[in-house]
Formats: sequence, structure tokens, C-alpha cells
Amino acid sequence: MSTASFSQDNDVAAVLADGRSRLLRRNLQTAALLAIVAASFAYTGAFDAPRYEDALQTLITLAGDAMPPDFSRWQGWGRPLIETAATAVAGTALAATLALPLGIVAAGKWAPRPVCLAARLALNTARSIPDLIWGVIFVAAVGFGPLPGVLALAAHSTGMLGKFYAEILEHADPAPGDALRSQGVSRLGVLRFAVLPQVLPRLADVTLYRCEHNLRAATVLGVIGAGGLGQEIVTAFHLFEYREASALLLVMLALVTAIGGLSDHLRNRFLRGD
Amino acid sequence: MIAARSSADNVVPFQPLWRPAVTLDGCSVRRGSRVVLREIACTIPARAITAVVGPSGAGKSTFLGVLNGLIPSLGGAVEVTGLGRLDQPAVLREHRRRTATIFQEHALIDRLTAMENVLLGLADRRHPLSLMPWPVEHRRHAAEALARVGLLSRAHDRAGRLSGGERQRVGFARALVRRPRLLLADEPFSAVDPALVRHLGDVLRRAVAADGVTLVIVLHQIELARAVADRILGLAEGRMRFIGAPDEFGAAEQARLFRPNRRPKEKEECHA
Repeated sequence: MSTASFSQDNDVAAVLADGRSRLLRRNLQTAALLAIVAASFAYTGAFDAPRYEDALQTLITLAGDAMPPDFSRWQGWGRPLIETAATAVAGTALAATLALPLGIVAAGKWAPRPVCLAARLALNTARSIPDLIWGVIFVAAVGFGPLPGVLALAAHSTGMLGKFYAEILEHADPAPGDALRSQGVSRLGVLRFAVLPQVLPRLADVTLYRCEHNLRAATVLGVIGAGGLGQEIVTAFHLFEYREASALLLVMLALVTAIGGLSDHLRNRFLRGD
Repeated sequence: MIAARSSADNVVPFQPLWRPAVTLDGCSVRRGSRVVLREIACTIPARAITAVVGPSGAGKSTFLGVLNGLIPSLGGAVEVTGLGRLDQPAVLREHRRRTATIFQEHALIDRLTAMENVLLGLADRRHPLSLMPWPVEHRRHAAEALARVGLLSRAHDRAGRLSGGERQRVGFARALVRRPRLLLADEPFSAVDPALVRHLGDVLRRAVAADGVTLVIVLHQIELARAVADRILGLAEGRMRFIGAPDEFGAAEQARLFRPNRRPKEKEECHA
């Protein structure tokens, strides 16, 4: 008995020592993370106090110049508003269409390893090029207007959505798929009948979220000549029409809020089911 | 018929001569460094009920996985009577077409309705890329299977909204809709109240008696195993410790099978 209790004491001591070293390791990791964050602020000049001296005054002046918002030219905004919304919707839809097969291949269970790696590389490339750069490229390729905006959003969002889709597909519960495999359903059949039905709400969720994001991104793309509200806002700023710019920003806010509310509603419906 | 001889020399009265449906010979399964099944050799009698019992972690679910081909066995052979060895892809494909499994954790898709889950039992009869809705014929079979387990009234409720017992019944229906020749059931009564155990037990017995199904059922209720089975397989620590008729599986055999394993390195004892 005494040897048994001795060995148990040893075991307890080992577990406690292990716990201490885990705590130490976690503290070191936290300290390293904080150091990186602090260094990032320092490097970008965030701790450079003189830079802030006139900032507040300028912001107040700018805000004052932008008040009250000037909606007098509202009749001209309908078209750019629709352009921006259409760019976001079309860009997201095109991205989702491309991202689904790429995501399936990148998920690793439904394609040979080299094909899977190639798909991942393609998705990484599409993602690592910002949509603004894609926009410049497509403006050169197809000219000004909303079309390069659609293509630019699609290119970047394919990279993002493909990655999300792949992760979601990988994390689906394998049990229903195993059930189908046990009765002789092919891998493609398992994907179609067991995996996709499980993850459809989450795929829809990230796609709608991406659509919201693309609405804001579509505005920014206006800056490089891809049409829409963004172009109006930038033009207003260039003409020092701050009151009109603030009115346009309010319109933008209303649009983003409306689409956001709609997509929240849709997502809830999908996730809750009925 | 007076008596029948099985491979383990068990004399069982009032049974037609059992033919083996599946024969396992020297099958082992490894998970990482752990051996889950060791050198399993046994036959599964056709058109009969075989109950698999044993303490938890004995390898019972793995045993079913070997039978439906989800878990490949290391060495040894699984031979399906009339088809051949399971390590041949064509045999495996045909064997799976004739097999259905009821899973312990149901393995349902919560988002889909009970009906849609049952239809998945027929997923191998459709092209994976077909965009057509399920054929009427399949829907009728699925509805009939739900009726057999008494769940037709909830056909269009989502599986996620059903109780544990109801989910288990959907799992039953998904297996029955396949009209399998070999039906594997992993603790199918674990989430089910006693009245329902009787009902579902009858459903299974009828499948065996009327449709000639071969049933292999993992049970933790030993009394139930004695009552329903034609043959009992006792697994412990990955080894087949008992093969015999229910009346041979007495209190002593049960105690030996379920004896807690105090000294893992102890040398192996002989089988029952």
C-alpha cells in the first residue's frame, strides 16, 4: 500500500509541475504578444505625441464644414446607389460560384493532394491581392464603370470565400457521411447528400456576410473609377463639398444598414431553420 | 429440423441449419498504437439474430465497422457468403448495397426533416449530381419505413427537433428503407423507453423472420440479448471471449466477460 501511495504522490507532483510549466509558457506567450502589439504602435508613430497637436482642431473644423449635410442633389444619387449595390451583389454571386468548387477541392477530402494544393495556392493568391489592386487591373482590362468593380470584388472574394468554404466543409460532422459510406455511397455522393446539407446555412452565412463587406468595398472601388457612390463621394471631397460628402456618407450608412439588416434576417432564418 | 451445428459447435434446438452470412477469420484492427480487435474469428449466421455483448471499450462498435467495411481489418479476411472477400472493391460495393447500419449516435442531419434523413438511406440509388427531387417511389418507401417505426406523423419535422428516442427511430427507418439483407445495429435501444424497446424489437424480429434479414446487434442490456438473440458473441478487450447460444451464456460466462480488468499485463486466459 505504501509504495502505491508513494507512486501516487509522485504522479500528483508530476501533474502539478506540469501545470506550473504550462502557466509559465502561457505567460511568456502573452508577454510576447503584448510586445509585438506595442512595437507595432511605436513603429507606426502612434506614440509620437506632437503629431496629435492639431488633429482634434482639424477634425472639429472638418466636421463643422460638413454640417448640415446637403441633400440638394439627391436626384442624381439613385443611379450610383443602385450601381454600388448591384456591383456588390454581382461580385459576391460570381465569387460564390467560383469559390464553391475551389473550396471543395481545397478542403482536401474530395481531390488528390496536388490538385488540392493547387487550389489552395490559387485561393491564397486571389486573396492576397487587395480588391483595390484587382480593380486597377480590371479597369485596365474592361474600362471604367461598375463591371471592373464586379470582377475585382469577385476575384478577391473568391479567395476569401473559398478559404471559408473549405474550412466549413472540413469541419462538418463526419458521422452522417460515414453512415452513407457504410451503405456504399461514393465520395461525391457523401459530399452532396451528407456534407452540403449540413453546412449550407454556414455557407450562406459567410456569403451574406461577404456581400455586406463587398457593399463597402464597392464604394471604395469608386475611387479608382469603378463607378457607384464611392465616385460621388470622392468627387465631392475633391470639390471641397464637405456638406454634400457628409450627406452621401449618410446615404451610404443607410444602405449598409439596410443590407446588413436584411442579411441578418436571412442568416437567422437559415441558421434557425424556418 | 432437430439441431444445427455452428462453427463453434453449439447445439441449438429448433433452428434450421444456419448458413454463415459473413465469416471473419483472424481480423485485427488497430487505432494508433492500440489494438482494438485481435484475431477475431467467427461466423455470422444468416437470417438470424446475433447479439454482440461485452464491456464498454471492448471493440463492439469496431466489430460492426469491420462488418460494414467502414473499418478495414489488418490481415485476416472478411468473407461474405455468395460474394467473396471484402478486400475486393467490387465485393465491398455489392456488400454495402445489401447492408444497412443503425448507428449508436444516430448519425442524422439535424437540419433535414425525418423524411429527408430516411431518404438518405437510398442515397446510393441516385446520381450524386442529380438536381431532381427524390423520386416518388423513394418517398413512398421512406414514408412506409417511418410508418413501421411509428413516426409517420413527424415525417416533416426536422431531426434536430426530435427527442432522443424519436431520432433513434429515424435511424431505424433510414436502415429499414434499404431493405437490407444484413442489418447492423449499434446499441439501437440506448435512448429508447421500455415500451418502445418492445415495439422496435418487434420491428427487428419481423425483419428477420419475414424478410430473411441477417441481424447483428450490439446490446448492453444482457437480458434483452438473451431474449432476442439466436447467437451471442462476447467481446472483451478486443478478443472474442464467447461464442454460443443464449442459454449457454449464463451468469458465470457473463461475470467472466464483464470482470473488471485489474491487471492489464496479466497473461491471457482461455476463452469461455
